[in-house]
Amino acid sequence: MNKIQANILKNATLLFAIVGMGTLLVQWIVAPDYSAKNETVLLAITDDAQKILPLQLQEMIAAGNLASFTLVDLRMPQEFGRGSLAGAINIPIGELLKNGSLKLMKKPGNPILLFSDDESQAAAASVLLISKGFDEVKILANDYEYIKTNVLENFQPASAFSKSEKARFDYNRFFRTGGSDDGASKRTQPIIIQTEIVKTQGGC
Amino acid sequence: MGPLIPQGFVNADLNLFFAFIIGLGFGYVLEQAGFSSSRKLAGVFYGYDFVVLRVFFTAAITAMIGLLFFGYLGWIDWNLLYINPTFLWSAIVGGAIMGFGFILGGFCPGTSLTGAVIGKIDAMVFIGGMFIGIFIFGEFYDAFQPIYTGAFLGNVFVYDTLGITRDTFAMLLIVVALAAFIITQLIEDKVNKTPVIVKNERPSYWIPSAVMIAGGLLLLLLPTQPRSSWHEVSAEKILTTLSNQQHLTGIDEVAYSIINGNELPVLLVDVRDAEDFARFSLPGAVNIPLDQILEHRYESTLRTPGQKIILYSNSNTLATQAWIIATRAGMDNLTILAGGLNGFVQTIFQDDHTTDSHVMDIEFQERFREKAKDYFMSGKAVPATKSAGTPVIKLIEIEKPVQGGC
Repeated sequence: MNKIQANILKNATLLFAIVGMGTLLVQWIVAPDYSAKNETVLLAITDDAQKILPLQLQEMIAAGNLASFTLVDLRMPQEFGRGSLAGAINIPIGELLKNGSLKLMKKPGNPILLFSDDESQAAAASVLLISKGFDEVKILANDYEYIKTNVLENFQPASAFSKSEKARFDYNRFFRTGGSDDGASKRTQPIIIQTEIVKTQGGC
Repeated sequence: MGPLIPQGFVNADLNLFFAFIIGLGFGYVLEQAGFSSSRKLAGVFYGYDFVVLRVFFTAAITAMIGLLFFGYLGWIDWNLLYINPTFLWSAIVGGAIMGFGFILGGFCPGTSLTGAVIGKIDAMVFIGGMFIGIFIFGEFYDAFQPIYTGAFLGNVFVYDTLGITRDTFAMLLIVVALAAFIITQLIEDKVNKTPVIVKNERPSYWIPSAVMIAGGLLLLLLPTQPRSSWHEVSAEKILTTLSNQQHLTGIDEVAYSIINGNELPVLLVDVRDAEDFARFSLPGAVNIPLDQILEHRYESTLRTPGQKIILYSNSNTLATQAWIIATRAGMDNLTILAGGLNGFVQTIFQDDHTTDSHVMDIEFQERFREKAKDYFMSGKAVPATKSAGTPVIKLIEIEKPVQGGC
């Protein structure tokens, strides 16, 4: 009787261990290759200092410390050929994660500075690079054409703090709500959806 | 099923059903382990039978290792686990009463019920005593109250108090458990004067012990959480979608959805901060600021199956960042409003919609935009289902702890 019970116990534990190891193995194989947790990446990209505004860029060019960055131009090769920031390397956004590209960008001690013909593309590339383990990735606010006309050629003080994410219009002027003719937006009480989180408690 | 199935599939009522099933299993195991016998239970205190200690220690270790691994794999949400807050005085006094009652009656509350259902009279008397105790406590609650709620320490963890990590403590507990198993066996043999033949026939437990130790060591080696989880989407796949621009939803489509909400239902999600959202939001939009997008309370909204969800911000930038983060987390039916609010206003309201083009598509498009402009300008942009004003849907979370215990 004791022997049978011992066998059951032995087999059950072995099964338990095999299932556990198998699950961990599946996690290791299936989990995509990232070097930073999603939460860590989110924290890095919501930092305002990640974006370099035109004024900062102007100051950096004047002080000559732009060379300490690995400048990465994310546009297409033909656009890159028509002119880019001095010392920039060209990695089209589609080839960002290729091994060769990653190797080109991996220069220890040099932060990366991304720019493109669309700010959101540079932002997207920065999210992916941070999640692939790059520590310091910064992006230039605004698209390259804007930077060219307002910073590189002739610095326009009016554009000093410009970025794409800035609201360009007073949106409330366009969307009139509640049928009011005077244009003043009337807001009603918020509709509140209540979700219940039930915490369970047990014991013994 | 809160922590295991957090998406809300299992409601509070269905929980009771699962509780019933688990309760049946628990009772069965208690009875099969011989815990309906007060002699077996009291054996711990006299040294002739330590099976209670062994069963509960094994159960605790198994549950602990399982919980830690489930947490590592992301199967369980630690935030949803209810941890009993510590009231030091009631723990001391209650523990003393419980221990005294255990020696005296030979049961703990759970096992007394097991004993009672198989017809043990002493167990029934024990239950009677339990109810009298509850009655006295209830009647004189005001007198007991200072002790009952005294020395409140909140949710304290042993490993925090000891100043060691959770995984080290887990390993320590496994070692202590194995040592306890060996020592209690020795005590048992001495008290019972077990003959050598019986000792030699005893099966070896080295495989379960090795698995326990290995589990503990593995927990020590593994980080608290892997850098990426099995349900996440790879960066390469995200980049392909991005560079093919499949993550964009056109301005006209969004305008059409707002105007004809019932035909093409979408959920608009504003990823700007609460301040910008309060100033202006698209009709029917909900607010999930980028920095909170991974919070648990928004998960069910962003994962609504079959629902087209469109993220937007002032331009593409913030929305694209939010899209990548959420897509990596496995929320796969998200798109963003191409051009953001700036693009929307520019296209619908600022651009000139008169066209010389005789290409039918362009003509139709411009005609639609002109109509949409009039529609929004005249203040009709109110979802048909909601009667008054622009709804600001606000998700709030109510925490409702459920009392339990044994």
